[in-house]
Amino acid sequence: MEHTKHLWRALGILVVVAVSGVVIRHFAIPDSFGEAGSYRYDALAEIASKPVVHGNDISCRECHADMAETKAAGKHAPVRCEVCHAPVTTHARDG
Amino acid sequence: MPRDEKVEPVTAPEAEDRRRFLKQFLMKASGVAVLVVAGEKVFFSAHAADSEAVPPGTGEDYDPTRHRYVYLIDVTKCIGCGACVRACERENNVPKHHFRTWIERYMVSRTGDVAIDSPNGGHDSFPPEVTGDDITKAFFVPKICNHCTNTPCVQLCPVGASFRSPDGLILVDEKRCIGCSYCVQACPYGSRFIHPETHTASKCTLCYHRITKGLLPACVEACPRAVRKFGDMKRLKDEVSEIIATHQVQILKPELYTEPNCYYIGIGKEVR
Repeated sequence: MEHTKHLWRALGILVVVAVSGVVIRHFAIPDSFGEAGSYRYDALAEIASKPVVHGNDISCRECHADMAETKAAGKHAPVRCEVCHAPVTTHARDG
Repeated sequence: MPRDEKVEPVTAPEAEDRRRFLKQFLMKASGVAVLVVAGEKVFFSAHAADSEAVPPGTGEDYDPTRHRYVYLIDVTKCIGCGACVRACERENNVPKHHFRTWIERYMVSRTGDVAIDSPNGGHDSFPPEVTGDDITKAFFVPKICNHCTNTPCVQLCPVGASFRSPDGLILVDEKRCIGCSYCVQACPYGSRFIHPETHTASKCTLCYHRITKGLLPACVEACPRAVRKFGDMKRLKDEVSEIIATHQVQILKPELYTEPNCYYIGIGKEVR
């Protein structure tokens, strides 16, 4: 029976390995990882929350209705305002 | 031995036992079945209620499983103005001389020689080109990430930073990316680059921050010739899905079986 301590030692090592495995796993794997595949699902919302820079001609027309009419009648009708002028968010940022 | 004699030996108590056993077994089994079905019903109805509370659409209630994006490029219309490249640069803060979308110019001579150029990715449009050959046809081919269904870039990402989203886009998780650039080498279309400031892989997201809000990608919005079209396979009567379903469309490098979700109209054998 004096040799049972070997068993206990092995068991102890196993327990330590298992517990540290669980702990490392908990910290190494990000929260939403694996929700919809082998990636961090929260990344979708993060990418989607990047700032929008361009609007479209509807946003320009809100203030520049007269220019929009002139443009619509001219050669540049199919060209978006923001292609030549600044994107609406950089243009209207300071009010 | 006569048949009825064989039936006879089944004595009454034995038959009773069997009957009782069957009865109890059936009752218990049906009880368990009822519990399982009820449990499943509760579980799934909770989920069904969740998905019904989220309307298909955009903004706060955006549900990626209700979309499946496709992209269509009509090469025959492109004039190589570069408005898309510039719009993409501004929209996504793309560093200089790196491209999420770019335009290539193909010039084919009568002898079949092909000259391809893309000065600064077509960002500043194209200068007149004189190759000295007898050029019989020339055309512009805008390119973006093909958002392949069976993409090598996602398969070999060692940290799960490149992934295919439920709405069918290949995206990069900047926080996970370690910048090993395996994906940059793996992409057969050259759609990826390592961002010089963040040192992570960067690529076309089809303006994920715009399309989730119901806006068009910046390149589609900027195109004066409606070369670029953006569609959603899961939307009813979607223009692009309709064109793909009813017209001859091509994909880049079909021999690689990457199953691109970016379709082309009017590209020739010269385009790779």
